[in-house]
Formats: sequence, C-alpha cells, structure tokens
Amino acid sequence: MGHKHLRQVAKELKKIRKWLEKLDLDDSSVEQITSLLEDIADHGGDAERILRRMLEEEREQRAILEDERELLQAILSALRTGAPPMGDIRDELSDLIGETVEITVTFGPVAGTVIAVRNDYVVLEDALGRFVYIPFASIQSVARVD
Amino acid sequence: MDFAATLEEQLRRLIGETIQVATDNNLFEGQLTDVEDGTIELSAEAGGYERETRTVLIPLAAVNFIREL
Repeated sequence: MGHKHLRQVAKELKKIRKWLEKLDLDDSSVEQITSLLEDIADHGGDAERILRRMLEEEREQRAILEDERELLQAILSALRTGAPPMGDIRDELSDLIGETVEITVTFGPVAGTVIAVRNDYVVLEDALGRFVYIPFASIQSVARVD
Repeated sequence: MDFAATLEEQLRRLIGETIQVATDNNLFEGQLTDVEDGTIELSAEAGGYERETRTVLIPLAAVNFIREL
C-alpha cells in the first residue's frame, strides 16, 4: 500500500472515530468498531501485497515463457538445417531388436544382431561379439538376415 | 547392456578404448582420446615401418559406423 494511501486511510479512521464519539456510544463499542476498521485497513494492505506478488509472478512466468519460446525456435531452426527426423527408422529398428540384420552405409555393409536403439544411433553386436555403433544419419538400408 | 541416449555420450564412455571408425571412404583404427562438440579424436598408428602415432579428428557427422575392438 502506498504512503499516500496509508495517510488517507489514517485520516478517514480519525474522522470515523470522531463521528462515533458524537454518536454517544460507550468507550468499549467505539474501541471495538475502531479496531474492526483498522483490521479492514490492514487486510486491504495484505490484499495489495498479494496482488503485487501475483503481478510479479506473472511477469516472471512471462519471462520464462519467452526464454522457452526462444529455445524452441533455436531447436526448430536447428532441425530445419540439420538431418531429417529419424523417428521412422528408429521405430523400424526397435522392432528388429534381437534379430540379425545387415545395415548398409556408404562404407559398405555391416552385419550383426540388433542390441539397442537409442536417440540417434543403433547398436549391433557382430559375429565376434564386438559392439558396432551406427548413427541413423549414415544408414542407407536395413535388411533382415534369416 | 546400458548404452547412452546419444552416440556422442556413448563415445565419451569409450574414451581410452581402441575403436575402428568408418567414414565414407576411410577406415581408421586407434585409441579414442577425446569426444567434444561433435568431433572425435583418435590416436591412430600411422602405417609404414616407423611406429609413430598421429592424432586424427573425425566429425561425428562423417562417421558411418564405429566398432569397439
């Protein structure tokens, strides 16, 4: 609550107290009414504090959202300039876990059992038990070997 | 067997191991010494009679496959 507002409230309280005195009420009633009015004034301050806090929180939320928007835009532009989405090949390879496959890359064919499929690569285990990591981006074809 | 979510992370776990890296036209073999910002660094033995090693930098984008040896 601003100082100006507080001073105004204090003035109003004084006025009300004077009117109450004129009404010829007993002292305890005047005290009761005055403290009630003071409570109302105090709670008004609380409400203003709460509203201010809410406004601050809203501003913070907006800043966070703005940061997130920038981050998403950066990801989007990276995706546009980078490799195409690899969701499909990942799903297909996931279905082949445990199967023996031959994956062709530019260098040549690589054969092995599909052990795991992760975000951007597949893991094969070759005939000698060695792990072979193949990035999706380099895969030209996948053939199941029966 | 536990593998990392991305190839770069997985390769970081293999630092110190001997690996084979295939690119479109080349096959490199050597000890993986570093993985940083999309580039892997190998300490590879140069061919020939003298047993000298050389450092080879390969962008991950150029990798066809990597085999643990």
